[in-house]
Amino acid sequence: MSQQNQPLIEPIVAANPVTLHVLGICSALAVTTSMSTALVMSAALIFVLTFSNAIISLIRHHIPKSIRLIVQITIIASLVIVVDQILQAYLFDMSKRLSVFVGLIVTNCIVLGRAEAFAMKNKPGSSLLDGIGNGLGYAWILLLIGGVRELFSAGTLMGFSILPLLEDGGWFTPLQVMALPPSAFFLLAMLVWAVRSLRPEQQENVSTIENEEGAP
Amino acid sequence: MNIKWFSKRDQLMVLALSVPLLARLYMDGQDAAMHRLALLIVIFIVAFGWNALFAKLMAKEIGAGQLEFAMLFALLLPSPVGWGGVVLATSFGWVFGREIFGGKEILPPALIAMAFAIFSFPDGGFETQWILSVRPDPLLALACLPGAALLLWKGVLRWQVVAGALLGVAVMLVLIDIPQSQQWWEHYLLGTFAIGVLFLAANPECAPRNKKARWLYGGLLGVLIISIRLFNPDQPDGVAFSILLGGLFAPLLDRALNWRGKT
Repeated sequence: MSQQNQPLIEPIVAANPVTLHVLGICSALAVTTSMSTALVMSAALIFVLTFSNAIISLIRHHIPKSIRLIVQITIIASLVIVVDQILQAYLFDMSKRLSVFVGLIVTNCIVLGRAEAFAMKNKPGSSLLDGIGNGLGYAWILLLIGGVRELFSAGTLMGFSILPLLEDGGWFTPLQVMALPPSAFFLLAMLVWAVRSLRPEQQENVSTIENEEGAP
Repeated sequence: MNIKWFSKRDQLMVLALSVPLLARLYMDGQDAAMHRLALLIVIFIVAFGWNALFAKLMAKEIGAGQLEFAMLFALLLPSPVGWGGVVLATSFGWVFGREIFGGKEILPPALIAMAFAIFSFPDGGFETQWILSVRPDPLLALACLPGAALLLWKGVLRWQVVAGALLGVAVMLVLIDIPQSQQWWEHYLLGTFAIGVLFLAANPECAPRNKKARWLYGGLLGVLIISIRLFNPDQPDGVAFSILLGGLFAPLLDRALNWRGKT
């Protein structure tokens, strides 16, 4: 991995915003009932994150410190409005299915987090890559959870039938629980568990957790 | 391989549960009884498999508990259901109810398995219809009593929880009009009330430690059970969800009644 591409590659697994920082959970749980909603949501987030990172990085020397959060949120909100309007214009059904969650990208912790933690300190080029990288890190988690939930709750992937349903003459009985929000919690928990088992360096230090709780 | 099949408490629980299990099998009739027995064996094997796998991963000895779990889950299953659903629900209940907490049962794993099954197969599960029992079962409730007496004698039944639950139900029945088709006393015999309150809610691992908190916890369960039964027509039983929800309050109640930190 070259030094240059590090902001792009690192957030995909090693510093994944969802599994390591556990950010952006709200939308990751809400829009993963099917793969298509997860895909559109991911695309919207990648767009917003990439451009907000790049724009904020470009003007980072001109933003007064005391009002930087307001400036960042204004830029992010403008980008979100653009995405929302485009979805309403060209993908109206999808925008209805995503309901408020596109608008809520404004409050997505990943976007503001990257603006504050990365774009304010780095050059526009690497900030842009960081935005794409974090967006992709968010996207594959959403697509994976969305895929599992859609497959087991409806027997389809992206709307195409994979497991023939019992009621259509097949053999698969859909798992209703997968269509309900708690299933996303459990899937995400299992994913975090798997990632942290494979990469023990991501595990939190157990002794610090015990110290916080242990004292009477 | 070092296997610990039973802890002392497991032996008592298995003994206590055998009477209601026999009653249940008797009520099922021959075919359904054989199916339920076979399911019990499947649940036991699946739970043991997960237990052994996690014991190996964590490099510890294989703990007890799967027989108690299998008996409880087989008892709770409303009507004999299909294999696939039971295997899935067992895996979920055992892994998420027990193994991820390092073997500690914060909520009863059998109820977590049950809740998973109810949510997954609300209207017809794998192969067989999933019907929640809405009849009062006096025989089943009576069959729970010898086991409960044994547990009480050995000091592993938190009787304050049972008393609290009986009171909570009574208070709710006085406050809320029940449908014409039901008698008030039926609510004490309905569905899994006796099994749930005596063997799951009053279990020392799930009940609060503080004695006053146990009364409150029991009362909360009674109120929740009647609320779910009367206000949600899809859940005529309501015991599983009440104990799961109530169980989350157990540590809080302990803390609230013991805020100065004395024990």
